[in-house]
Amino acid sequence: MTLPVAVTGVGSVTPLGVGAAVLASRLVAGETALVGGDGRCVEFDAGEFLTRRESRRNARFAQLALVAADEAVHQAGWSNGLPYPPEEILCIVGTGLGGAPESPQGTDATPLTVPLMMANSAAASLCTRYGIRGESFATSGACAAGAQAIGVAMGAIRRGEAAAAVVGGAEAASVPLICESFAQAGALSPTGRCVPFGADRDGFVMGEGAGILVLESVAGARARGAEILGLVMGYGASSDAHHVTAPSPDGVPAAQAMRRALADAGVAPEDLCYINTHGTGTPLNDEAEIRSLRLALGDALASIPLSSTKAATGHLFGAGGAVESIITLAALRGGTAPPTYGLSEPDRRLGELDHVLSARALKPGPSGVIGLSDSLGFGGHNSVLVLGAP
Amino acid sequence: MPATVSTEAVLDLIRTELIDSGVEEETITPEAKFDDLDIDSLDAAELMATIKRKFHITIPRAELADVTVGQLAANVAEKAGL
Repeated sequence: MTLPVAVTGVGSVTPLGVGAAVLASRLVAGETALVGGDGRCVEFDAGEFLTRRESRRNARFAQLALVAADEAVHQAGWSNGLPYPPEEILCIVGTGLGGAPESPQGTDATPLTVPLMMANSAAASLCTRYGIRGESFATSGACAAGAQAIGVAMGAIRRGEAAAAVVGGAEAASVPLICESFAQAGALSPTGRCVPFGADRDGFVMGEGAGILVLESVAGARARGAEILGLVMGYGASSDAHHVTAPSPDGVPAAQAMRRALADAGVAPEDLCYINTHGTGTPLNDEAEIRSLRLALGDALASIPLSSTKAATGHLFGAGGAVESIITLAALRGGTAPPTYGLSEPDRRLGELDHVLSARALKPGPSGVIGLSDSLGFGGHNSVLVLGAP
Repeated sequence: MPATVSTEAVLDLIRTELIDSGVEEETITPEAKFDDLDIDSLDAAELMATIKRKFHITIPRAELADVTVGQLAANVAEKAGL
């Protein structure tokens, strides 16, 4: 099945700023938001966007999702009401850790502790705010959660089970308990530098953020005269069945997800104009990911421009797949690939690759302007999206 | 925890909590009944939990029924002062 689904709205809150436009423009300008080994949404002020009650009843990850959704829904032209019956609209918001608590102490519990922590709370809040009454839930495939949400929604719209979907991912896990755990696991960069694919890479840097997209059938979007910003063309997923945190060293399962996504989209490796990698900057991830890409794309990989935007945003975990889909769609639509910030000495052991070291114009492929974004989560969850310019 | 708690201090806390729950500030008067304020059961539970945390006083949620903001504040201050 190769029917694409239309993207009619996007919204994001990331360390690079509030809004999808500032995200794309700062990436293309070659900027990073990582300061002192940390990526925070410092420009985000919940009080500016949310009522005091919304602020109180939503953990930070869900607050970020609400603000990102507001931008996406507005852009889709849904501000004055839903264009489809509410029960035909899905809402899926992925997250890795949900409302990560500031304190793990039982004595700090309040009646709101559970509703704030629930991984599904962002989806629930979005439904409440917009009156969405179709199925809603959280995907929770760690760092693949945001991509999973988009993939699941695309399938449902294709099959006619839903008319539209508000989907994405959100994460705000930069609390002491979580940061310390990542540091002890050896995943966090001890130098505070995130250099994906660099010869001297030593880990990732924490980020936080949310990315929300409005998806509709192409026919539905056209019928209501909505502007189509891009296409979700294909989705592929697999599981490593290997290890709780380490990727499968042979790269075979993730490669299978990539192949499935291409087949689902009806696209050949040579059709890809850009790859937004998972590219966390950990020695293990980058090596295994490139192995998977090479297995899936073969000789074509060497000449496809690729970059990781995590050096600019930090690792957004469950929001990553959604934010990076928004980044990829902006690159395809705008015709410019964002660079891997800070990469000057690529790791030669990764083989021949076309690293985007500074923003570069994309060359349309034989089938149009098509890109791939892959997300690989702790637990061995591999989720891959094939995206296209409108 | 202070040895004694003034009704005014409890009132301030209740006011802040209710504002955070989305209640219009001007409707929060000592004479206002909780039943008439725009709060739900989760807001009430959160208010009781905050009072417990701050003043170490447990107020059964049922006691909010037919009680004014001022009466609750006085009740908490009295219990905390014992």
